[in-house]
Amino acid sequence: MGRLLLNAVTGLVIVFLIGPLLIIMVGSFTTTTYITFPPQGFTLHWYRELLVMGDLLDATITSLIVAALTSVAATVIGTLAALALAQTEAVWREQLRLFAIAPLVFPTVVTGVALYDFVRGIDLESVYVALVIGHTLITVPYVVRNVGAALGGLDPALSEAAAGLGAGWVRIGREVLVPALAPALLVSVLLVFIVSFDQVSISIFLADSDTTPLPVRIYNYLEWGLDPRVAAISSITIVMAYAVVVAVQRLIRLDRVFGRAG
Amino acid sequence: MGWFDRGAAANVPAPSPQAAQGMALDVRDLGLDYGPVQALSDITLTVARGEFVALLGPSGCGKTSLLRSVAGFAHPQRGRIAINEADVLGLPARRRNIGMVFQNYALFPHLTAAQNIRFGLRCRRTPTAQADRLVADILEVVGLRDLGDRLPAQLSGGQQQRVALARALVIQPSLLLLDEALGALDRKLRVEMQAELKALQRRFMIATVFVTHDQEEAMAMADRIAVMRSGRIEQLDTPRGLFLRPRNGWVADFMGAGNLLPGRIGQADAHGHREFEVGPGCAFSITPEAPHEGASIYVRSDRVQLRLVAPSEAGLVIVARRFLGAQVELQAQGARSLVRALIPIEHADGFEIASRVAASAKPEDCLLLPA
Repeated sequence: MGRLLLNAVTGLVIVFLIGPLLIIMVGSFTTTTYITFPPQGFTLHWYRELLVMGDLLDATITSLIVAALTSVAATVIGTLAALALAQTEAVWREQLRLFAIAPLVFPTVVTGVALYDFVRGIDLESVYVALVIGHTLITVPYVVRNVGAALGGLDPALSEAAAGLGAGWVRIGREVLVPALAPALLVSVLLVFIVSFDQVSISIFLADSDTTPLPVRIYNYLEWGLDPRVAAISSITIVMAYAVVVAVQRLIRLDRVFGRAG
Repeated sequence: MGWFDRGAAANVPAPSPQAAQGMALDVRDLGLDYGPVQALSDITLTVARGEFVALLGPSGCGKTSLLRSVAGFAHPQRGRIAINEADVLGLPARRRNIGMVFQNYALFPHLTAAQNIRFGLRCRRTPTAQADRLVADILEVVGLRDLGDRLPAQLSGGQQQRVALARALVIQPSLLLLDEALGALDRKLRVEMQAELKALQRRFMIATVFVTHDQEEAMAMADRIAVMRSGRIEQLDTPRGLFLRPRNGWVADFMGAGNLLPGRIGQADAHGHREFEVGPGCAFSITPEAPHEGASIYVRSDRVQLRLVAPSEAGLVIVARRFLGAQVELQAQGARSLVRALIPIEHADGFEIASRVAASAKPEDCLLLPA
């Protein structure tokens, strides 16, 4: 009886999570000028339309660039923070850790408003920089947590053994830490990229008409109605994200990392 | 079966003979605090070149803190540490030229055995050809000749142990430091490794400091043993010295090699031998040269003399009997103490469980100790 219930709940969870994605993807092929499910007819018309929509393509590129920059920034900052937290013997270590994780606590809309105020206050002209700052702010906690967990599982004797054999901190970093942290680092980069690419509630405050990330652009279009072209671009990004995850899984056995880190 | 006999491995040079003078390790008045806790106090210890010294004691006695201070992973606030006459207290671990073996080996998991061993040589920028030779030679010496390309996960515990040892030795360190290095092995392998480790140490004449909580292990391997308690060295002596003349009751009890019998000093007889009253059925005495005051006597188990007594006499009851081959160990329970005796097999007849006996020893065999 219990098992039946578990299977039923699992099935429902999958339906609720995957269902909307499927509906969008299937709905992008409809012949009607609005997204409908089940779709009427089959056409690739809306995909062709995308090619002439410069604003959607620009937005996609903007999102990719911001996500890439954010991945680098957040991973570097988060890793350094995790390393420091693992090593410090300060009395307020736990408070520091909570401080690093804090951005996760605030509703992103609140963070977005605050950032808007901040960016105007320092007269920051580049929207790109503002977006990267905002995205990095909310993704560093993920890195700190992931890398921190990997560091926690790392045998401290390894670094000491390396030091005893004559290794300076550069060599220790390169030959002991990076190989041990590689899965966590890779997962972090992936996670940050996806979160940044997907980000709406902060980007919407920081974007302007020239520089708009894709999710914000989609949001704008949806205000006018259920445009199948939006479904088309969404399908493409869904497939892209799926392909990236599968590729990484093939490369580093992602499931094993998640299974172990819990 | 001695793997250490395989191969010549003459290419691994020994420390230079000119360096025969001077101490490999010189520790003076070392003190280490962790906040309010004194982990080490007044530690003074030397290790000569080629000498094997064990740090022995219960958990928390400071033996690991001392080892880590010598290695450079702990930072004492007081005192002095010199390795080969050079002061090292300000020096980070990587500059002290030590070879350390950890209890869980700490092998780099993503490197092969050979690459692990090579690590220290790479840090020293040893030329490739020479490094290749040194690694091959040491693999031969530790008996892992064909296993150099295996990852640690593909090696057994004993093999990992040897890789860790090889990794520490190949850089020709001034000091070999082992932190409960045999702790993770099962008993049979452990005993084997004790002999092999000792042979290896002798062969390379490397000053060695070995941390353990196992008295037998320390006695079997060490030239001298520092018995530690609560951050201090209770007694620094050869195994023989600790066995024959423990300095106080705690050391005698910890070494567990004999009996520690509390009691009271009583009257002297005509020869000046004072009786030491342990309890009914016990007849122990101490020599005139013994100190005036003391709370216990230490008597080796093999020097205790037992004699069967009639039920009407005061006596102890034999509660355990263990056959050890050439000897039989008997435990006799008295009113206040348990007396352990080791009797040659030829004289052990008649001493069965529940037999009643009286225990005694010659005055020369009773060592009077303070509490």
